[in-house]
Amino acid sequence: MKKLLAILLALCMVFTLAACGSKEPSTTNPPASKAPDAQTPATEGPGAEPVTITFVRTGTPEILHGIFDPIIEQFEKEHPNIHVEMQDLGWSDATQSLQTWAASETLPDVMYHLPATIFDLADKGLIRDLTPYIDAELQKDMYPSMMEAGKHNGGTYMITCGGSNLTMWYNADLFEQAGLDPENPPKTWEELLTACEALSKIDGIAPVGMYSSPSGGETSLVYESFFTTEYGGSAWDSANSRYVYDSEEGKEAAVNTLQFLQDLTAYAQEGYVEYGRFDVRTLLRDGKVAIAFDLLNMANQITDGLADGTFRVAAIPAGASGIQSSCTNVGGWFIPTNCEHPEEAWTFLRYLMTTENSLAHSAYGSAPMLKSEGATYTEGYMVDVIATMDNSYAEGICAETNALWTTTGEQLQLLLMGKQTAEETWENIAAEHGEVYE
Amino acid sequence: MKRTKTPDHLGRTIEPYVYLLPTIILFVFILAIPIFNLIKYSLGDSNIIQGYKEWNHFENFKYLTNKKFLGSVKVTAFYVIFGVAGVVFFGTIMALALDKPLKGLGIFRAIAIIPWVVPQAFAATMWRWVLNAQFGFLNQLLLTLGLIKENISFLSDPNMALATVIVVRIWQGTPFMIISLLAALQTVPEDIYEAAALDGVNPLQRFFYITLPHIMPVLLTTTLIITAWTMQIFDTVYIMTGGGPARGTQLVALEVYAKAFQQDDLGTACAISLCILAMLTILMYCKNKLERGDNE
Amino acid sequence: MRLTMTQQKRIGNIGRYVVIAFWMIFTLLPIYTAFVASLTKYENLGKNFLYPTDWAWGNYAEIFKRIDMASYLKATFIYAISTALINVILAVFTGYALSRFRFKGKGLYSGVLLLTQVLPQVVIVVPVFLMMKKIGLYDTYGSVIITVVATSMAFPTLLMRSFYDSVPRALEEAAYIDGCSRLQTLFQIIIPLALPGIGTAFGLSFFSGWSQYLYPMLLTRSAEYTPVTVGISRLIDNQTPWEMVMTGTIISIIPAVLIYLLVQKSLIKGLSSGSVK
Repeated sequence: MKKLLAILLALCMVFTLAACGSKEPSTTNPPASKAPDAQTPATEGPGAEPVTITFVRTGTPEILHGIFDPIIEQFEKEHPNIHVEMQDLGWSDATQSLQTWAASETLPDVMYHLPATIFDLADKGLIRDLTPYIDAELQKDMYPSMMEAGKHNGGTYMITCGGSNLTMWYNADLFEQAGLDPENPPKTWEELLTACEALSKIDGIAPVGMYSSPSGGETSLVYESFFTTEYGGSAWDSANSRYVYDSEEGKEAAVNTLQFLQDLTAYAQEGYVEYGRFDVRTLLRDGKVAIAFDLLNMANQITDGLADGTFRVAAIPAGASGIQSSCTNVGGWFIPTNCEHPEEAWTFLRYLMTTENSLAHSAYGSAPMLKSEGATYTEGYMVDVIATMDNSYAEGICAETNALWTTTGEQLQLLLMGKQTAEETWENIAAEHGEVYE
Repeated sequence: MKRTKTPDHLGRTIEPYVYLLPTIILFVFILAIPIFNLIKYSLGDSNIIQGYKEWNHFENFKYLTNKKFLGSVKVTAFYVIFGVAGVVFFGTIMALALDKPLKGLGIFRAIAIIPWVVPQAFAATMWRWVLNAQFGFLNQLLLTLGLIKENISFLSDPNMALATVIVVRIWQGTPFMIISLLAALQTVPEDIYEAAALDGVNPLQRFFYITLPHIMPVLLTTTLIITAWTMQIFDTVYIMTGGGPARGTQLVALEVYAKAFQQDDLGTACAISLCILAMLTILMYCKNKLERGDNE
Repeated sequence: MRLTMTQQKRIGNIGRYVVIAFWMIFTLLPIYTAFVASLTKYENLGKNFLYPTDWAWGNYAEIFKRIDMASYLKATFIYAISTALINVILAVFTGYALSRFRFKGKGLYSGVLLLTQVLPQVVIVVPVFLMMKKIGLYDTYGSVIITVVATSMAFPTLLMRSFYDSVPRALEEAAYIDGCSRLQTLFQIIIPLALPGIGTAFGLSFFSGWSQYLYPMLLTRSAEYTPVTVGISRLIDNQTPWEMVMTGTIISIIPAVLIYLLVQKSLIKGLSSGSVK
């Protein structure tokens, strides 16, 4: 008891000490790098002191510098009044860095991140609405689903610049061994199950590579994508900012989808419960599974096999609607409100979205964002990937997405483990999502 | 003991504070605001970016009675009890084994500390490769040796997964215990052992009656700290299992992370942390009691 | 049946080797897997962990080209050594105060000390970040070192306290009678006896400084202050080159182990000089 009192006392002491230093309104201190030009008004006039904008593309620095250093160099040549300073941020702790910067209003002037986080920050008034900046050309050239993916609550807070949709990757050799036609991959759920049955006759492989680690985002995308093919429309009700599959209206399609995913596990590899999306890529690559559902990132893991035709890609099989649709998982650029040179930041951002530069950026693992960019692909698997994009929907994203995914991931794992029925899973997801929506 | 004379008395009362001053400054400087915030955030609707927003009638503490949360408390209890017990058990055995001169001792000791310098996140990936159901090292090895016929899925079953992450915790935590105890063992006077050997004391008796009492203060301190850390372990488990399967490894620390970073609810995260804090305070109280009991 | 001393010792040693062997295997199991992965080409990752098939030693040269390993290692070393030195100096005095004095607020102090070990980093990092910005320490070695010391000093302090506790007070009393001042006794009598504790506190602080991750990541921005952990983890992505990550990890383990071997040597020296008394 005494000890507890002592702790309490300590806390009181600390309280008084902290009170003087804690919540002063965090005046938007310009980041150190910008200090010199804080005095000079940032006009574009000739002879004006160049404006420095900070730029972060989350990801592996070594690859990103290879992509962006030439772009920045060219940009600075064309815009001598703007200096771009690129900083590094890896994915592994991007969330924590980002939140720290946001809390101190020191976000870089142009930055790449995922929409769920960007929209959350937007709701907190930390992200600029880019709608007034968007020109007709960009509006026209961007794939509508990609442009749509950056919108939230009536504003455009993100310019989508990377992403891809869920597709079906398969091993043509194994298809042939099982007596299936690799030119005609399954187009419906029934055909997929039939194909799996045929593939299950091959020794030492599993027909389909599945993953159900409970991180949420990965399995949620699979569920959402398959749901669209059953339901025949987007899984996201953007007007009300909630999943269609949580509503009574979407229930039947949702339960069917969940049931189908559970049925599919009969053909999955051993121990699929502990797998994540990345692990399944290696299984497909090594010929241990014949089919896997993944984003474009799969391609880098199976480059050689894609080139010689061993691996193919097609749209995911369709449910009752008969439409082979899917959902698109994206990331994009944003400009924070703490940016002091929004004009210059936009100029740079827009420069990144030119056909040439967007194409260069896509080397990091992305489908084309612009129609003009898509047109540059004339052969190979990318043509197939681009074809599947016609029927893709933007993945449903809102400020609470991370919370929604956490519960979806947990529930889907229980479903795929066979611990609960499709109906129960639906009810649990709907109930838990209901709490988040409030 | 009380040998203090009057002129010395004043010096004695100020002296300890002089020794503590640098660290007190450090505490105030670095940790005062966070500690204050911990309590403040737990009392209201808070998130990382905006901090404290508004009073919410102890809403954050209501989560502590939620069924899901209680489930994770149970998981954490298993994890901490067995994890810490394992660290203490193996740490003691290994410290004893590595104590007296032996050929290759330096190398063995150096190897024994490796897990401690491998960052948690990478260690988790290594263990996943050891344990993976398809291509994991252990499965491949056992299969090649013909010891198993079918691959073992270490992480697909909730109980098995919990046992596995406990083993990994022991792997990570034991080096710390070994090093601390190795140092403590140096303080055991050699002559007592010699006297005991002459009396024909067997090794077990020797350990319990001679060694253990001598290393007890260090053992207790290290155990307490290891317990505090085990309650906070996050990266390893998050990467290995993500809290699954079926919430079988959903530790309280993972709840804190999920609440703070994924669900934008720093308030609840802080409320949970306060509870951990309360538990540790009790543990510390017990430790002090135990030590005082020893001294008397 | 009675065994002679040497026989007993021999059996004991065999037993020790068995125990040690078991533990070495357990310890090295994942390290070996990482080692195999580090010798694998990216496209073959996950195929075989039993033994290296590619023998891609080139990875060890490649990592220095792909990321700035040398600079990362230097920063890591600076963090580790400064943390360890400061921690030990602080712990020598605070541990002493906690062990030898009764004073008001002792329980409170110990409580706060323990508190530092349970504060979630989430709660610490944002205010510390803001403060470092305000006082201009952001993006310096100092910001990280101060924060790491503040959050990691609990153990060295408590450890030193335990060691002091085990030093018999009679020795000090004798020294006082000889007219030694308190500091003299501390440095001439107590510290030599507590040297294993100091060595251990140093070693353990060094390693916690070595594996720091979150604080350097958030409190610095420039490449020169980036430690190995952060540098390597930046490779993690949705198509992580795990072979490079593991190569980097193995490389970063080696200096730590070497340093431990060095520390251990001085630790044993300290011991023998201590036991002479």
